[in-house]
Amino acid sequence: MTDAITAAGLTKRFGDVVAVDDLSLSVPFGTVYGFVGPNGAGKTTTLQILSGLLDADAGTARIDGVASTEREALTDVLGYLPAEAPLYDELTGREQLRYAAQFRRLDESGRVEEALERYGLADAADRRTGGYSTGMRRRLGLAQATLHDPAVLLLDEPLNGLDPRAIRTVRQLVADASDDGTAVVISSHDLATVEAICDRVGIASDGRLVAEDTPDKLGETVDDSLETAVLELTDA
Amino acid sequence: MSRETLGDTLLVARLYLLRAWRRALDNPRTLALRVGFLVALWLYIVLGDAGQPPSEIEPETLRELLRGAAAGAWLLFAVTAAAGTPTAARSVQGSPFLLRSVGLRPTLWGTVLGTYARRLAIFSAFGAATALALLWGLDAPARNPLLFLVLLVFSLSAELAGMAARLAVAAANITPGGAGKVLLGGVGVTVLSLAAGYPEETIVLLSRLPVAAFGEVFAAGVPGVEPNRTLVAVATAGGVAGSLALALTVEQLALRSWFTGGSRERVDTERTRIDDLLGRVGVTGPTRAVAWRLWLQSRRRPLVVGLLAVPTLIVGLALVDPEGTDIPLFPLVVGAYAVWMATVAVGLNPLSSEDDTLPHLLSASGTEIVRGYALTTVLIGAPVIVASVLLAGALVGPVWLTVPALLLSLLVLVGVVPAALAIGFVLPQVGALEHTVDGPIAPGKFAILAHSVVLCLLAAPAALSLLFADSLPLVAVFAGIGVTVLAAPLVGVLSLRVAAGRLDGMTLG
Repeated sequence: MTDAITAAGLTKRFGDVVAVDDLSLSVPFGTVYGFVGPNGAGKTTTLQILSGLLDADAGTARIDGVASTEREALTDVLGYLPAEAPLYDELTGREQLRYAAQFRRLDESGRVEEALERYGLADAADRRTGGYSTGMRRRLGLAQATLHDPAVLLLDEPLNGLDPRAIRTVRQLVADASDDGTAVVISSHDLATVEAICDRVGIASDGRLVAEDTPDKLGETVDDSLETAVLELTDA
Repeated sequence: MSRETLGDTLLVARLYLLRAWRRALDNPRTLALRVGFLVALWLYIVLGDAGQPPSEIEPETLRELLRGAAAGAWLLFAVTAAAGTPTAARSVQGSPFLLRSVGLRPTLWGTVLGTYARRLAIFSAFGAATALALLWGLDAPARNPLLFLVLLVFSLSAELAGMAARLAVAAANITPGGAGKVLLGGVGVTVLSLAAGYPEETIVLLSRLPVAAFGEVFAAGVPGVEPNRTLVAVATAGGVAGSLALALTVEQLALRSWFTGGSRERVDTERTRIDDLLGRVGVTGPTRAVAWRLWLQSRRRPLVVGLLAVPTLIVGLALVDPEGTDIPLFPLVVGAYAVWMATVAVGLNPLSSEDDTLPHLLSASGTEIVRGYALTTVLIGAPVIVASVLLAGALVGPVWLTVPALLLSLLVLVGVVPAALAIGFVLPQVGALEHTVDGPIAPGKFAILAHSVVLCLLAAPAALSLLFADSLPLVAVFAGIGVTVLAAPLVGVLSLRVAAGRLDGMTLG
């Protein structure tokens, strides 16, 4: 398997704060990679750098062979869902996805309707997104991020605010995408779900990657679960 | 720009316009106010004597005035554009969506295009309405057909210059600290005030700037003034070429500054002192929480810099001209300005940054919350008013007016602060603001207008009485002062009730 994501020596400072500190990782195609750690560990900043929305102070990152600084080229290969889904409150769900499809020159009606059905938003498609619940916003954000079938999918806290049915939908989506060869990176605090769906897990703390392995092996290092491993390895 | 990029840019502009249109329809009251303002302006232009030069002004003087005014307007546009330019990708609403879908160029220029398309629509409606009035035979002022094009180049070049300047500062990573902001604000307010105090010299100075050439076009319809058409053509051509160069510069600078992420705010334990202080003087509960939170916000806001810079202005004016300026009742005018600035800076847009805390805010009593806002505005405004008026009276004069001006200003503050809060709750500027957006959290234009009217109405009886004290009977002078003295607290009490009632009636839906 070739690597969909390669990052080497990523470093990002905000004034005196070192958000990401010499972080390196690689994620092969067809892999679901869990990115876990406490708040402020640098997960979101790392995903922002990988998505090309933030410049690193040092280090390089490539997504499907495209440098993260080549933002135009990155649009075709990458799907990114930030922690706050980037939706416009004034648009309906259908309009939001139609714009996304038009920007990416996709078959508008077919893709949009399919995505609305897939994410359970068909009934609410003509309602403004400003009136959507948290879970509906996450699902619409996911639909938007995956509309163009990207080779790499970066999901920042995709499970936040979702009910069990929606979580199952997301898990199925991630599994399907992975089966299709997509590399998926999920940042999450939901360790049970991460343990269940991720092939590999990276544990971040203070901007560094302190451990990386399969969920089972990470659990074995502390003779317990992934949750215990995360708690012990990030207990600074 | 490739065909694809152009298509994406147009699509972003269309998206921008659709959203702006829906926001306008969602706020029918604000829309009605705006339409009303435009209709009133149109009536003034078509039916009034706007555009007719005052007969006592010499044509050449008028021409210089037009040139100076054009240069002043250009600078104002540039500064306004600079203030509203996003310096980080996160400041552009929906940026993760737009930047990840179409890239920087369509995101940047599509938004600019959308803004201009909206303005063009308003200008066109205005032009069509004026033309219609002409067909009906109304005596509308003559208009040069090229005026529209020149105006477009004029405003576009100013906005791009402002954007480039702001992005250049951001790209150079220049972030002034608290003292630096106060200093910059002080310099800005001093320059503006000197310009207001010395209008003739300012007009002469401005009319010598290259952008003053745009003013020639306005001279086209003025009897007795022959505009320099060559200069207009050169200015327009230069404006087009300059705008293209500026556009390229803006794009490059945005590329350098938008993705740096800026710097995160440091924890500043010194900020908790005001909270302790409030507790020590017996301010508790929601009032204390709101006051402290507002204090934290207001300390970060460049708007406050203008307020704090008033004493600097007074000292500056006194140093430049110890005999005082031509502004009558100078200490009172300065006091009224300090009242205006205090309420605009702090009290007029109370819900501006409350997006994340609204549920907590709305669960408390409206009266207590409003008291918190009022307390902060008065705490910040009162010392500035005292300092400003005392300095104005001592250094510029007239000295006899110092104490009356101080008392009247503080009294007007008592009335205007609750009125500003009530206006702020009725006309909040919340929708367009997010906690991720950088730049000042400014009140809406109509809120500022309404608040200014209230301030003028409250201060006017006393100010006019004092201004014409020599020609009015003593009883009339005291009666005028008495009206302000009685009206200010009355308006304050009534406004407090309105503001509290409005807040109590608010829901998150």
